[in-house]
Amino acid sequence: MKFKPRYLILFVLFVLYFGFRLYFSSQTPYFNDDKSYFSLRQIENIAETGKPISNDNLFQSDREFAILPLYYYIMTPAVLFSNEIIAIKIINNFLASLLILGVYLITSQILKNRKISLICSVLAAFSPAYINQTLNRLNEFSILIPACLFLFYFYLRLENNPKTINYIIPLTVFLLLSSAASIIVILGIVFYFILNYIEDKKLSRYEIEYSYFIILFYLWIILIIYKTSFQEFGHNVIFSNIPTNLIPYLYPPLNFFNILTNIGLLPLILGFVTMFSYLFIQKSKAILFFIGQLTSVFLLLLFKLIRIELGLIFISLIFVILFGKFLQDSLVYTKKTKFEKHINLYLIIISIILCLIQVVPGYFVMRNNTNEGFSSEYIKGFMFLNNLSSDSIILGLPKEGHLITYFGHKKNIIDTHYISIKDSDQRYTDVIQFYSENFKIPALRILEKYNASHFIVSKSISEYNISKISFIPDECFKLIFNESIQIYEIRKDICKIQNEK
Amino acid sequence: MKNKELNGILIVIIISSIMIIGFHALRFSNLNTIHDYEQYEDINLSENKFILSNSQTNPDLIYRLVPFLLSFINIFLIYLATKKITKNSLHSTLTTLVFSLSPINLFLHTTYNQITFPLTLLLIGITLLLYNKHFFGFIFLLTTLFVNPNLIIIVIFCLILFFDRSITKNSITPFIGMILSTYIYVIFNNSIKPGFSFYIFLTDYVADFSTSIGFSIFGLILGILGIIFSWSKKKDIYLFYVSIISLFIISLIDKRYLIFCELLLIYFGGFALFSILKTKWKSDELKHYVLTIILCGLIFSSGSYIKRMSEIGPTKPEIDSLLWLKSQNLPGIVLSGFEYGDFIHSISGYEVLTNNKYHRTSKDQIKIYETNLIFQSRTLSKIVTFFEKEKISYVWINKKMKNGQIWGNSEQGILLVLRTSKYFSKVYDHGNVQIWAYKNPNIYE
Repeated sequence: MKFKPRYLILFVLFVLYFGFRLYFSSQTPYFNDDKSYFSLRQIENIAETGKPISNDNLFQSDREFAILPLYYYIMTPAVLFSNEIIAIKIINNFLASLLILGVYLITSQILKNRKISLICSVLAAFSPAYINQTLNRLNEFSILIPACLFLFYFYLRLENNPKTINYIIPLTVFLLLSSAASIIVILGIVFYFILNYIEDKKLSRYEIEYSYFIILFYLWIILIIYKTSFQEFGHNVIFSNIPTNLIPYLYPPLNFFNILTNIGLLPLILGFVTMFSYLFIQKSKAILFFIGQLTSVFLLLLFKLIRIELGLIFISLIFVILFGKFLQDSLVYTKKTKFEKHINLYLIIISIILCLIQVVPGYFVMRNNTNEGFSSEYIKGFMFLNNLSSDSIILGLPKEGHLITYFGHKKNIIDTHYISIKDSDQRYTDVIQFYSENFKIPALRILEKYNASHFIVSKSISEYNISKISFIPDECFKLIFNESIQIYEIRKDICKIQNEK
Repeated sequence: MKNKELNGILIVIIISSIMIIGFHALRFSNLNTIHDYEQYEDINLSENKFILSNSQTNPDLIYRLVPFLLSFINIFLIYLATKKITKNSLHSTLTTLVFSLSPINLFLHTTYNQITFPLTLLLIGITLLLYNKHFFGFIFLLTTLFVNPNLIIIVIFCLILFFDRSITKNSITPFIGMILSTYIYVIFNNSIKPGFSFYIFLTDYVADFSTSIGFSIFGLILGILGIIFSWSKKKDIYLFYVSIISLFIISLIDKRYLIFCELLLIYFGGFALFSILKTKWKSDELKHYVLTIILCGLIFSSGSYIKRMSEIGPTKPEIDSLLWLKSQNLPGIVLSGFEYGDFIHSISGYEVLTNNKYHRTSKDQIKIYETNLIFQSRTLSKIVTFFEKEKISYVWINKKMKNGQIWGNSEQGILLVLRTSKYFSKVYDHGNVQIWAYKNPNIYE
C-alpha cells in the first residue's frame, strides 16, 4: 500500500485526540459514574477467574447477572498487565478514539472528499454526548460506537465489494456480543429496506442476505443471554427492569434543546436540510441508509427502549455525516460559480467556524468531565467499609450500590444494575422511603426487612429532595464514620423491632 | 425407499432419540420423579412405590418407554406424509429434522400424555389417506376419536384437507367448513378468555420462556419464513394457512391444540430450511452462517427446554412433605392450586378441593374461582367462612406458587393471614414446601 499524506494527517489527528482524551481522563484517579465500578468488578473477576461474575455474592439477596461480556473481556488485558486504573483508562480511551477513523472511513466512502472527511471526523470526535459517556466512564459505548461506524462503512461497501463480507461478519459478531443496544443498527437496516422499497430502489442480494444473518444472530444472542431475565421480570426486561418511579428520569422525553446542545446548531440545521433534500429531491442509497438509522434511533427513543445518552450519540454522529454531505454538495455548487477559485478559503472559514462552535465547547466538556469524577474524600468513606465484618449489609442510595461492593467489598441492598434485581421497584421505594422517613420505627422496619447492619448518608440524598435525615442522631444508630459521607451502624441489641403476630 | 433417504431419516431418529434419552438422563440425575403433576391422576402410592391405578404396574414403563418407542413411529410417519405432499425427500427429511429438534417432540415423547398415542393413530390415518388407502385411513381416524374424543376438531380438519385434495379441488367449501368448525368449537367452549397480549403469547406459547407446550423461537421464525417462501404456491396450500390460524385460535381455549398448530408450522419450517439450502446465495459464507445459526437456535432451544423440564416438579421435598401429611391421618381436605390436586391426593391420600379433572370438566369452574379469591384475600372472616364451608384442614404451598404462580411476594393475600392469624399454624416447612393447618375457631375457643 502506497503511503499517502492523508493517512499521516489522520494518524496525527487520532494521536492528538487520543492524547487529549487521555490527558483529561487521567486528571482524576476515579471514574465519573457508579456503573464504571460494576464494569471494573466484572473485568477484575475475568482477570482472576477467566469468567465474568454470574452469581453476585455481594448483594443482599440472590441475583444472577445477564450481561454481554465481550467488552469486559477486551478490557481485561489492562488489569492483567497493570493494577493501575490508568491502564484501563488507556485502553478505554484508545478504543473510543477509533471513532475518528470510523467517521473518516464512512465520510470518505460517501463523499469521496478527504478534506471534508477530516472535518467530519474532528466534529464527531468532539460530540459532547460521546465525550460525556466515554471519556471517564467504563461502559460498552467505547466499543459499541466505533464498531457501529466500521460496520456502517463495510455495509456501504457491501454492494460493490463482495470481499467486504470477510470483514463484516466478524465485526457483526463483535458488535452483537458487545451490547444489546446494537438493535439500533438492525432496526436501522430494516428502515433502510423500507425506505428503499418506498423509493423503488433495488436492494443488492448481499444486503438482503446480510440482513438475515444479523437479525437471526441478534435474536439468538439475546435469547441466550436475556431469556432467564425475561422469565423473571417479563416485559420489564425491555426497560432494563428499571423501577417505575425512575423511568421518567432515566428516559426523559427528547427535547430540541437537548439535541441542539449535543449536536450543535450548524450540523443540526444543515443535516436536516440534507435529509429532506435526499428524501424528496435527490437520491442516494448511502444517505437513505443513515436516514434509516436515524429513524431507528428516534423510534427507539420515542418508545423509551434505549437510553437518551446513547440515542444522542447516534443522532449527533449521523448529523455530522449528513452535514458532511451538505458541505460536499455546497462545494460542488460553488465550483459552478464565480467563487470556484476560493474553495479552499471557503473550507478554511467553515473549519474555523466549526472549531469555534463545536470543538471549543467539546474541549470544555472534556475539562468539565474531569471535575465530575468521584473525589478521593468521597471514595474514602466507601473504603472504610472494608473495616466492617464480612457479613455486613449496607443500605445506600442506588447510585452508591456499586461503590459499596467495589470499594467496601460489602453487600448492598440496591444498585443501578436493576436488570438483575428481582424486586427492584420495591427495593427502590423502600430505600428512598428510608431516607425520607421522619421517625425511626418505620426506618428500622425497612432496615430489618433487608437485614441491613449499616447505612450510608451522603450529600447525594439531596438529589431526591431530602435535605436532612430526620431520625438521626438517635441511640439506635451509632455514627462510625463522619467525613465526606457518614456511616451509621444499627444497634440491633437495643433497637429490635418484633414482628407483630 | 433409497439408501440416501433411509440414512436421512435414520439420522433424524438418532437425533430425536439423543434428545429424549438426554431428557430422561437429566431427569434421573436431578429428580427421578414422574414428570408433570398432571400424570399423578393415574398413579397411586402403594407400599412406598408408585403404581398405575388401573393396572397395578410400574408407571415408568408406560410413562417413559412407550412414548420413546412411539417417537420412532411418529417421525417415520411424518416423513412419509410430508414426502407424499411435497414429493421431495429432502424437504421431508428437513421437516422431520425440525420436528425432532422441536420442544413439541420432546413434550410428546418424554411424557405419557393424552395426545401422543392418538397422534400416532392420526398420523397413520393421514398417511394411509395420502397413499390412497382410504378405508383403513378412515378407520384409523375414527380410532383416534375413540382414544381421545377431544381431538374431533383435528379429525374434521384432516377430513376437510383430504376432501380438498381429492374431491373438491380449489373450491370454497373446505375453507367454509374449516372456519365453521372453528367457530362452532369456540362457541361451544365458552369462547376465548380475554386479555391476550404479546407478553402472554411469549410466556404461554413460546417454549423458550416458560411453557411446556409451545413453539421454539427459531421454530416459529422458520415457520413464518416458510409461509413467506411458500406464498407463491398459496393456491395449493391455502388450507394449511387457514388450519394454522384456526388451530391457534382453538389453542387459546385448549392449549393442547397448539401441538397440532406447531406440527403444521414445522412443515413450513422444513420448507424454509429446504428453500434456504436450495436457493443460490450471492455469498456462500452468509448462507452457511445463517444455516448454522438456525440449527444452533433450534438445538439450543431444545437443550434449554430439556434442562428446564428435567428440573420441573414434582421435587423430592414436595413428595416428602406429602408423605409427612399422609402420616398425620386426620380428616379434612387439602387446599392448593388445582394443578397439584392429583399429585397431593395420589401421595397423601387426602381429598383435595380442586384438581385437573375438575379444571377440565367443570363448566363454571366455580371452585377454582373461589380458591383464587381466597388465595388473594386478606379478610380473615372470608377465609374462615370458606375453610369452614369446604371443610379444609390444610393448605399446601410450594416454591412455584410463592414465586409468581399465585403470589408475587410473601405478604400477598392469604400468605399474610397465614403468618399472622391465630387460626393457622405452620405444621411443615422444609425444602421450600410449607403446610399450614387450619384450627377450627369453634374448637379453638
